[in-house]
Amino acid sequence: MLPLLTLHFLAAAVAPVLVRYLHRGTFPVLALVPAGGFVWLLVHGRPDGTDLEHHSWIGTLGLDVSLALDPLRWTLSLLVTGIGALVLVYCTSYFRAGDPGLWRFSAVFVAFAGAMLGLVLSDNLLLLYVFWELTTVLSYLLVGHNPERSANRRAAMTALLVTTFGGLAMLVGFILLGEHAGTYSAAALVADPPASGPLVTVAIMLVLVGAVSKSALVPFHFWLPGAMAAPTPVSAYLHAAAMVKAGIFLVALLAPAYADTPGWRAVLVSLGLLTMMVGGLRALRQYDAKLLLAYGTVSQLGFLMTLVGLGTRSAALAGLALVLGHALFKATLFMVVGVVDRSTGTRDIRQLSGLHRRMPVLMVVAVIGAASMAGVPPLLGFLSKEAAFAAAEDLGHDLGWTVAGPLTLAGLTLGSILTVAYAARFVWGVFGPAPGVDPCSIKRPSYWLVAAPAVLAVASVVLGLLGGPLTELLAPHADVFPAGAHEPELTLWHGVTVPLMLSVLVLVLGVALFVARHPVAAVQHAVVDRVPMPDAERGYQLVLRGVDRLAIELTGRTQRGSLPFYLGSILVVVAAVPGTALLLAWEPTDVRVADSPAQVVVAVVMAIAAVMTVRSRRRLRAVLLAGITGYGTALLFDLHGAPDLALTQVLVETFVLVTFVLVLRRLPQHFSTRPFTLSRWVRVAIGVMSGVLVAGLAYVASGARVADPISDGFAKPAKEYGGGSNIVNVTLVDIRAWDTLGELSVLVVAATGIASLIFLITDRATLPTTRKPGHDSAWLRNPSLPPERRSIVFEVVTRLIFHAVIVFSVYLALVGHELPGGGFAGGLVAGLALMLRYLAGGRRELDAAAPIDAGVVLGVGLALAAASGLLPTLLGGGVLQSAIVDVHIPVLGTLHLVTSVFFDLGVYLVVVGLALDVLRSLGGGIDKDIETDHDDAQDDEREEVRP
Amino acid sequence: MTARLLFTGGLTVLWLMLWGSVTPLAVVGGVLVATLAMVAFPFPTMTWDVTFRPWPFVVLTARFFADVLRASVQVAWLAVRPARPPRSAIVEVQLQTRSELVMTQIAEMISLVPGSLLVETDPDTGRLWLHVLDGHDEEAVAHAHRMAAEQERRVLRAFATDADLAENGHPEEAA
Repeated sequence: MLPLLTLHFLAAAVAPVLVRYLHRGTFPVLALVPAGGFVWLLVHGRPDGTDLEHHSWIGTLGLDVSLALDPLRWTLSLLVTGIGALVLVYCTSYFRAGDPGLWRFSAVFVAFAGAMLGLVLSDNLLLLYVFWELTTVLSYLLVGHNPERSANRRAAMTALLVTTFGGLAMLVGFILLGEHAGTYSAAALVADPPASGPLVTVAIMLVLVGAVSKSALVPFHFWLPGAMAAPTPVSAYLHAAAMVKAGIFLVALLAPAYADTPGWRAVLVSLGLLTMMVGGLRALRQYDAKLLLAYGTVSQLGFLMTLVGLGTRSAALAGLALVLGHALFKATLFMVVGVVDRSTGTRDIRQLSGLHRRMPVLMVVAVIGAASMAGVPPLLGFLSKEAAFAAAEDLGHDLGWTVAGPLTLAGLTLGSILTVAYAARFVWGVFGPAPGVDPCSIKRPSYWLVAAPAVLAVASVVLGLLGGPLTELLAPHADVFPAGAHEPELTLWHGVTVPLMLSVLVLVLGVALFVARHPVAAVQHAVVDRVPMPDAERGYQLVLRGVDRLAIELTGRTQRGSLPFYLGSILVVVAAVPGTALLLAWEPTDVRVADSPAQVVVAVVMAIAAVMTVRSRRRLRAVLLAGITGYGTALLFDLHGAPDLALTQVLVETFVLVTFVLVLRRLPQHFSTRPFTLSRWVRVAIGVMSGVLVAGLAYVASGARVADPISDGFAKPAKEYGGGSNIVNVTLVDIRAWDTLGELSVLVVAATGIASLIFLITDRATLPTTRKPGHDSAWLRNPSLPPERRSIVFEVVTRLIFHAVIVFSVYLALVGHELPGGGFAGGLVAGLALMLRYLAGGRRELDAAAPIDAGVVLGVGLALAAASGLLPTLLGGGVLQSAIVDVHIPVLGTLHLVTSVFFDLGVYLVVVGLALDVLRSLGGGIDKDIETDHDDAQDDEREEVRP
Repeated sequence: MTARLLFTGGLTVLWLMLWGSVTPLAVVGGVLVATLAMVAFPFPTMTWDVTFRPWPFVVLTARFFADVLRASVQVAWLAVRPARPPRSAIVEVQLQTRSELVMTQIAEMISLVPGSLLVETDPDTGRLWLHVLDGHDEEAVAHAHRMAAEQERRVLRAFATDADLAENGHPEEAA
């Protein structure tokens, strides 16, 4: 079964390539995949029990690729693959040649078919959920096939939100159920259900929310008619075999074990019957043939859910037969609408006229489909409807429903009458004459377009005549339920029984309803206009609008664009929440004031610098003073015996300091002219509070340790497994390399943010290559500073030491495993070298020094780090596992290589890329800004001079 | 080309000093990294208008360290003595050389000696502006001028080409 699924997704992957060469001819090729699955299932034959196939995936989550095939799944898989293949063939002629969206559509459709097949075959409930949401996401793409129309986008979004909402509820239900029972296998959960109790009831109800929303039952029914904005082949598949059948499948799967859960039958039967009515009544009011069918599907889904939800042997058989029958006739009818739409250019039954003469073959196909839907003998729809009536008649005996049983029967009958009426409305509306409209002129459809629905119509007839074998084929699914009053049977002739009489009644009244359609429509309109009806769709929109509104209000109130305000609120929250925790956990601790006098001196200098930072009025001075606290921190690190940290801190501080100064060029020299207003005092207070808080946290935390630090055990493995004596570096690139990889990703995101947010440098690939004539300098490649800002000493020194700094950075990156250094420090040093070039020669010099897109550097770095993590898995190791290799090179000696050095080189490149991005945006970007302003000012002057 | 080779050699030596060991592998690695750095980040080729004379270089170095020592003491005294710091001055110095490399060398060495700092250069006219910590009277300013001129002479003797020396009125040095 797994190869079958894999094949679907492979086909989806190659589909866009195929489209390039075969265009519409891709579809028949793609159809081979589901068709192959269909044939395989037929050859395999209906399984008697449950065939399981197990592959472990994520064991700790209980998420395994375990697939199952049982009678229910077998039947549904046949539908999913068979109708999938036919719809793909139908697509060949449905789409116009040269449709630009085909490459995406074909891929998404096949993937959708694969996801649906996976959903039906999944035994593991979590895997089922994965496929469930895959169908949701893919159907979103299919419904929004033509995203230029806002209606399509809205419909796709509605379908996505509603079904995802249900899906999440279902996931919670699955987890409750799975954790309670200790297994996520559906087979195990059905064979050996956990004892009923409130927890199981809640879990099952949540699962039902998912099923009901996916299968478009009231109150979630509104997404399905909207989803018919999709291309017609998608609708045919979505309504007949996929997506909406997922909920029916899930209920049918769980019914044998959980139908007796309190509320199960009450919810499903009442919602099912209600949906059947609502859908039928709505269908009677539609003029768009496709929308009419869509509401018909809503109605039929209610019918189906009632049957599979009842959980009796006869209802289960009737339900499965109806699933089959509905799939066949609904796919037929949708494809017919597609043909009509393509041939006449309209789907409005008020404009379609005289097609019974122009398209007689298509009409026969449509009539068969509609008759099966209406339950006319000898079609499959008749068999299933008879079986449904028989099952409902027995409810009094099977479930002891003395009152509810007849009510259910009455509901089904009423719903069926409506079904007959809208089936007639469909056929008459599409093919019959329309008053006051001339017969339509048509473009003759291709034979292939008609062939697909014709095949399905023939199937409806043939299966209708094969009641006996069909009963045998489907019965094993029903046999897991306890025997009822009568053994269920699908047959054309039961004898003169209640179901037969009801069938006749339904047909007669249904036709009568159609004949009297004008008065009926008048009554409907009158009722709808006068009586306020609860409208689920309006409720949905109200909720959506409310959320939007709330988001806007909240954003407007909190995101006012004031950086001090943001920072202030963050710090106040930090002070309030962890601060409270700190006060509660306060405990005096023994601490040494200092290890050496040097620490005291540094601390005092830092404190003075901090206070002066706050008091200074010039921005530049504030930045420099803040820098002193940074360098002081580095000194403290070093005094404490952490040269690695100290080195990194110094490098970061330097880089940040220069960056700060680059930004300051665009800010006023002084802070606000009113130095000590209230707001400033508030800020000082917040700052003091934050400082006190952090100091307090450090104080309490130092006394809070109860266990031995984990790093105590690092020293030995760092040398033995990590192959390095610098524990800090081995920790970064080996012991906790996963974290580092995550941090790298964050760094890449941050760099991209800097590049794209500040100056919208979205196209980082095109750099100015032309050498703008400025002044001649033999020292640099393309110096672009104006002569008055040029410094010959700076240029010469840059020229002399640049390469030495680069060599040093490489050394730092490589030596990190043994001595202070590492990729991060090395990258920073290389970044500083580039910064030197920028400061000495301006932004064009930087571009000449590193004529490369910073994004490429970032990407290559991240890819290198990731690849060095993945490579060991190919060699049979764990992710990010490092190896120590001694390479013997003749003559030269032995190269001692630890593979994590490649990871470190990835870090190096990412940091260099970040530095480039910072220099280009905060350096070069601001330069450009200033130049533009300067030019503008000059232009203005010229303007003024001219008159 | 020679300059490039010299540069590569210098970078390789730096590499070996960083690793602290001279093995065949380290040498090959050093040459590799140095070449890679120079290929990846090229500079325009240029003529290096300098030469190297060992004895004047020894004189230059010795005198430089002596200056640094002496000036350190002086500046330290100015900082700790119980009086206001002296008035400082900006001094304009006219150099003889027009070689940017030599000019840089002179400016850097003057800056490294405590008490005097480079403020601005004008390579076209060969002028430097220095900030002198102690510039309270004519004598102090004259001293700064003298110091700069002597520094230039020593640097020229150690590094300037014969042509440069001849051009700048020190033909007797051009052997």
